[in-house]
Amino acid sequence: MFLSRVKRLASQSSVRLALSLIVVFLVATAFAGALTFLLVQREINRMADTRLIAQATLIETALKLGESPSEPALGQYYLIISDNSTIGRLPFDTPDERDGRYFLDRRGPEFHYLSRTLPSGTRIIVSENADRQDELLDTLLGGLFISLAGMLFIGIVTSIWFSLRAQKRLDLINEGLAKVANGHLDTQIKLPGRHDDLSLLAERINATTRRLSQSMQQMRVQSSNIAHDLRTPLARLRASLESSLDDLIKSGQPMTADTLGSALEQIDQLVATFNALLRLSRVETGAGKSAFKRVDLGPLITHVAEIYAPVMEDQGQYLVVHIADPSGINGDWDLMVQLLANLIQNALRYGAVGQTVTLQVQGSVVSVIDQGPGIPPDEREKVLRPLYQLEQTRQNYGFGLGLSMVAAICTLHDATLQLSASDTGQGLTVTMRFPKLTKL
Amino acid sequence: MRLLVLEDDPELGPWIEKGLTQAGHIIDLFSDGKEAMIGAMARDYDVLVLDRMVPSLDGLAVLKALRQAKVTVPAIFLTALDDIDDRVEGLQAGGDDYLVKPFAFTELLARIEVLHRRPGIQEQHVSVLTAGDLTIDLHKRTCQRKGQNIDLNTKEFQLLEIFMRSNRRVQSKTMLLERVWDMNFDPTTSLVETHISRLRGKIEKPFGDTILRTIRGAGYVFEPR
Repeated sequence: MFLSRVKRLASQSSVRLALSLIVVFLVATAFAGALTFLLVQREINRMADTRLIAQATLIETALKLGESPSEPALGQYYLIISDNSTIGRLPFDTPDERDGRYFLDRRGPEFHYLSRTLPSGTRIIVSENADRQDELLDTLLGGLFISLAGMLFIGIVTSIWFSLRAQKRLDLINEGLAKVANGHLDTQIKLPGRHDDLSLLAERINATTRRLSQSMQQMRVQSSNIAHDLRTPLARLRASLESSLDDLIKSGQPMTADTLGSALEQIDQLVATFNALLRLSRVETGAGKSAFKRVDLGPLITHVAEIYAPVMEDQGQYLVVHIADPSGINGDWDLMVQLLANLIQNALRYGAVGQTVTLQVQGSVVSVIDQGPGIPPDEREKVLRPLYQLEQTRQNYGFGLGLSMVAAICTLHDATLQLSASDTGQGLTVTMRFPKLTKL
Repeated sequence: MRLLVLEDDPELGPWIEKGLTQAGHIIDLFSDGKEAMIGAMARDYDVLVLDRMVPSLDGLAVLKALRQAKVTVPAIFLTALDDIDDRVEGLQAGGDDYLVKPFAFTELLARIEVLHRRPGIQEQHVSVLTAGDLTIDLHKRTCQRKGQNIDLNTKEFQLLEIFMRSNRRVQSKTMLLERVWDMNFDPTTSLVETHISRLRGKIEKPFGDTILRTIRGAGYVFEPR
């Protein structure tokens, strides 16, 4: 039980991080402590030296002046050995005759001493008890060890505490994600406490699930729109076939070619809607991008204008083409034809008799300008959604896919799409900026 | 023509068989991929009509195997799959054409006839087509009816040429869009209608009769006198 908890703790990244930090810190502190110790020890020795040298110099001066040296301070000793006399005493055996500074390390009290031989042959030995300095160093060492141990203890305890806290937050995130994985897209992860990277992560996850949930919602709306757009013609078809059958049974009135033809037309309409949806989803998923080739905007516009000019003329509308400095783009010819065809159809469908529709190319910018009713600014984004039609146009014939297809084709071609009012404030101007084909 | 049809749908298969038989062709209908493959190797057919998703062996695999066995009969795929990749796959496997379900029977028939004609070069030598009192010259791009010259633009000429070659068969809007305008999507506008009406204005109106009939739900049929 305990072992498994320890194992679980050790497997947490935060605990591991904390522990490795503790180890690094420990090594650094030990190094710093050792250095401090050595420096303090050196300083203590240097100060002892200074005192010994000062004492020896004082004695030497006194001897030169023929005075007797003053009594040593507590813990200090001296011994003056001349040819005929010995003054003072040492708390240890008189060392041999080498000059220098020594440390007498032995059992019992410890001493520093300094031996100096004057030119007159007199030898001065000054000494000092080193026990106090030793104690000082011992205390320092003890202090260092205690602080090291304390740091280790506090470090381990706080790191475990922090990691347990972090783990709790991580567990919250984990639980939330598990719920999301189970399909509860409305799950929002709430992290108590302060603002940190984990709460940022939780916010990001929340934003992601919100987006997902929104697009699911949109998809649901779209599916029901699709169902509506397919069901309505199906209902009409069913009604007309049913009443024909009724007529046949009740009054022996045979089905006319017209009834059957109209049924076929409605089926074709359904198939067309269906195909348009499939095509849209194909373009939206980026299919066909690998087959991109150079498409010259000049010939493209001319081609489309040639196809549509007669149709527009027949409906009492005019098509005008402005081509200035047309460039090439990287794209799919057929899709580009469809893009322009959809925009012209839109203009044609909603525009009034007598209007002029302008197809314009300026470099790699393509615009389709009409003089129709236009689209209110707050509706401009919505009309790009599949099967969305302005309320007042809902009754009119149309799939509601034209502009979404335009948007999808633009996205596939990395082009920006902008819907705006014409310069006169009326009509609709659709502007598409394609990336220019860089010349090789 | 002798045609092999591979279609496992219990209604669609016999429907195709009946329609093609009525059009004067001899049909062998198969509903199993392997059997169709064996059948295609055993006999000389003029055109193969292959469904993509059938039991035992996919239509695509059937054709691949046949092409490896050096059977070069033209083949047309029928499929409910409609993806550019599928289309490419079908053509790479050696298919000559591709028709997506649901389709108009007239379209299948027209495509089969186009496939059968393809290898024949004699057609290309023909420069003058005549149907009833209507004559067009493919080289000079001229059109005459009852001895009167009629001025047609390119699209109108292309339309008329297709009708002249149509042999009184119905031409669907989809086919016309594809062959005249190279469009494989539904433009939802009256593109075809506009051009047909202009063509009628030139070849019918001055003569006060009807030779291009609209069949609701199917398309147009050209009936020269």
